[in-house]
Amino acid sequence: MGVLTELRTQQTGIGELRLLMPVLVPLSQKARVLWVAPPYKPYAPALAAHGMDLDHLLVVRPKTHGEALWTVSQGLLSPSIAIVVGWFTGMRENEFRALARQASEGGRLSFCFLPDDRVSRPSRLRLVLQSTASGIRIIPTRKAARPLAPFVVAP
Amino acid sequence: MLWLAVVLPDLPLDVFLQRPTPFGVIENHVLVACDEQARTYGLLPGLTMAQAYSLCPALIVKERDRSAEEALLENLAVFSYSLSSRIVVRPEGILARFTDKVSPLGDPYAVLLKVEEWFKGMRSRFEASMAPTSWAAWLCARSGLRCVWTAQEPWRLSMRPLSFYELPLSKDVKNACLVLGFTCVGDLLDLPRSGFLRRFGKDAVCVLERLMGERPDVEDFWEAPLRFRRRLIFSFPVETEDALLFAVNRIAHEWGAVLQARRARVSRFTLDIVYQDRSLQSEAFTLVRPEREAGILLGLVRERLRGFKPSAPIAEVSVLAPFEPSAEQSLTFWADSEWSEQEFQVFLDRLHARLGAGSVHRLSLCTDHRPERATMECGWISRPLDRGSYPVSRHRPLWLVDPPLLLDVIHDVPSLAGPLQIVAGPERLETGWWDDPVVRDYFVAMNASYEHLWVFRSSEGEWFLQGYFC
Repeated sequence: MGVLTELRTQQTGIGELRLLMPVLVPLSQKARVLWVAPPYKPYAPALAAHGMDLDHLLVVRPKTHGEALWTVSQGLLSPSIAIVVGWFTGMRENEFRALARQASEGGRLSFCFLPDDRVSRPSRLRLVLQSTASGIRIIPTRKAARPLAPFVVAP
Repeated sequence: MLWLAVVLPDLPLDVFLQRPTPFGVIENHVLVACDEQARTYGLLPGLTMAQAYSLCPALIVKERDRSAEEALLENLAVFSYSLSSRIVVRPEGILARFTDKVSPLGDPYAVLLKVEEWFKGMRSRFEASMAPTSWAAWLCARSGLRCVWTAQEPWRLSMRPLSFYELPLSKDVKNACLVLGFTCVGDLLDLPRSGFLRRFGKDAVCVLERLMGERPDVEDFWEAPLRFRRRLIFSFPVETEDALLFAVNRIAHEWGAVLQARRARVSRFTLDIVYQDRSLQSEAFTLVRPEREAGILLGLVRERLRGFKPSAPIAEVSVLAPFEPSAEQSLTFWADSEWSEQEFQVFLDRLHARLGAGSVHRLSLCTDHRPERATMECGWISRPLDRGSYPVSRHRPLWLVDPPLLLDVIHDVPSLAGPLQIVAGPERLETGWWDDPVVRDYFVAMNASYEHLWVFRSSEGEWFLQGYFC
């Protein structure tokens, strides 16, 4: 079950976080949700409107990239955290692999937002998010698996 | 009655970590203790500095640290508190009084085993003995006899060959006895008591009577303080993180034992690092939930000190931890939810220790119509604000840009990576007249790359980006 999903996008405001809401909201009502280094201020009234339990949302703002990696890995290994979402401006391949390994060890769901630089090889599940007039276009790439066709999710 | 005496013969040495050899401790220019290596040169406590150096030029000396010794003894006393509630602290060790049943453990040998266990991993030399009177136990321990004499055994006979020098007799009495050719306790006991009384006074007789159990033992019992305090001094200044952690590790070992013994927990503590130039660095730790496990406390210190580069050589390190007054018992069988709560507190403490409390936030709603004031990121430890009934709305963005970003206006159209196209709005917010008046028209806008933005036009006609509908 524990998978670190790579979400790659160049844009903000295309509905990328709303994609995760169906996972985050039910989990936040029973367990704790950890957000590491969100790029902007999470807006509490909107989150509450989505049904998020704000008492169970932990927002951590580490000062360095190393601290952010450490926080994500701690969250992945701690039994008290149900899901980890991290925002990074870049990550080396070995760093990503270390986190993915911890995610599968800890059995946690986790998501990593990264810029779409298309250099590294895809991880077990990479979703490239692009915006279109009719919604978000999701290009799934799986490692060592049959390629999937891109699809569009309406907002 | 049974007394346990624990004596630390090398106490002045024990407070110094990582001793070089040959090593000695001085007080008022007189040697008070020295290690094995120094003894082979013929050094003995009581020599002056000049005598000591002439015997052993390589000797390294340190000034005696009374307060560190007291702290070490205090921790020993706190540990003994788990064995007996009647403790006496003396300058070189402690005494503990037991009833005949040797309360909680039932067997005097079990008591000695407990003491040995406590000293394991501390590298301090100690002597422990038990005897029916306090001075008898003390005398045995001072003489290096690890023995247990109960009242049923011929313990009085065994006192006779011991030197009386450790008894609290005045110096004049001791010297006079030595001059008369007496060397051991038995010699004094054989003297006619009336003559001894006339010659040496009432106090000396009292001492002998208390030793032999003919007079009740009166002692000032020690009261356990509600805190843990320990200071370690490095004999030579250290500059590495490892050496510091080694010292903290040793403190934590004692600390855990003390917390277990007192059934106490700590919810905050300070770690003081004193540099060679006497400047002080104080690290304060606050725990979300009071903790007892030394391993967890040590883990917190490790996280905080990770990658720590001392700015100067470190001379000493100390820990001060007040106890929580709670008499709460340790939970052994947690329900799942409690267990996870416990885990979460440990997780939070680790984050706080490594990242600082200012990096971990919770969100809370505030009753304010100004968007940037309706959300608050506050520290996790602080109490969440009492939230009013703010009308939560799905027409608000998940990301808030705070402070708002001024947008370029090209041909009267606001733009951010291309001109913006208004999707919805306006929605007028007019509020804050009491402190910071705000009149804004909010719009949902979209740019050429289909990013949904929350923008507003101020009363001055300027456009700002306030959020992203992400």
